[in-house]
Amino acid sequence: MDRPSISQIQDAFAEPLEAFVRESNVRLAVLINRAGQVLAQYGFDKVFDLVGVASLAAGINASSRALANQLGEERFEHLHHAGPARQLFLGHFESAAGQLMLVTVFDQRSSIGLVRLFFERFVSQLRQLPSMDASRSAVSGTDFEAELETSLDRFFQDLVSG
Amino acid sequence: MSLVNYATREITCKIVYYGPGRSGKTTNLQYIHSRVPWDRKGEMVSLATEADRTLFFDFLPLELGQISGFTTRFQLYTVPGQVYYNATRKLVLQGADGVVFVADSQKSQLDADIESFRNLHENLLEHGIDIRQIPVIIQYNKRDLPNVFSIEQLEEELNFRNVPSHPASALLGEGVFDTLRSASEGVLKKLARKLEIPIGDGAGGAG
Repeated sequence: MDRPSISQIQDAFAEPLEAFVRESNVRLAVLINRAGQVLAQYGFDKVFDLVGVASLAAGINASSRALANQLGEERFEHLHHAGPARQLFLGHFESAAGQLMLVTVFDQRSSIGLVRLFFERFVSQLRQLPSMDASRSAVSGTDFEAELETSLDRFFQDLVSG
Repeated sequence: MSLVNYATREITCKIVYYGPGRSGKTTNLQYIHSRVPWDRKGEMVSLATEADRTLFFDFLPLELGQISGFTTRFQLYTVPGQVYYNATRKLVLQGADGVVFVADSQKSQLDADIESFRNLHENLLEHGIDIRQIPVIIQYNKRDLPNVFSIEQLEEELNFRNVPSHPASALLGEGVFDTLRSASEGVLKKLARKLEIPIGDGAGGAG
């Protein structure tokens, strides 16, 4: 059977992520794929640059995997970086949609032990999700492609004349 | 791999600027960053050495606007061009939806261009991607410098697959947006062909 695409299952990520944030008492959490694209997030606002965090975390994860491979390990354990006020946890796991990563930021109200405990619970919840939502109706990509030229013209015209 | 979030009506695509060292990949992103209005871009992240050479990647998120009701976003990355950094170059290429190959038009750099293009083929193959399956755009950069090959000569040396190509002087901004537009179009056309875009109810939002 074909592996479901992330697009097909990502709507279901939001609720388990909220539960993880509530139970582990972390401040921020974002679920990303290996390319650093955001699938779900909780707690990010204008103070923190969500896509910047996601791209850097994907970079750390990718280089950690590559280092593990070079040293003959399949993968390294989760990553944990601690600063005086905030700590960062990057936990990776396999899902029906390939390798995903949870990036979370916490302070003294939580702890690495708590984060790891509820991370495991989060992963097992995700693994129990139905693999996809087949109830959506669909339109062909034709309309999208028809609008594409006009939208690109508008965007680039704005830039050139701006 | 393009990501379509049905709940929040967002499409996110990744374009990687590839090419030999000092061909102008970072300059392309810097020019784009300097021209795009603040509400259409995020922070530019650069992981560079002390000498301002790209170490891991530069990253620039852009928002193109609405297409068929979907907010369309691009994540632009550059790779480190220096031969030494192939391991990190390979990592940045992971999940790319399209590639802009920034070639240096100077005669002295032709060998480096060819070597880098060959390296792109190899690294894509290591990710299981045949270069014919992914939109690739070639940019012939540094047209403002003396001692450059003609576009015809460069096409003959590099563009044997006849992919879209653009002359550019990235430092002056010439050809930068033509290249980006071409890459965006290639990536989104491929997405439109590949995907049926579902009309969900938008409940249970992710993202």
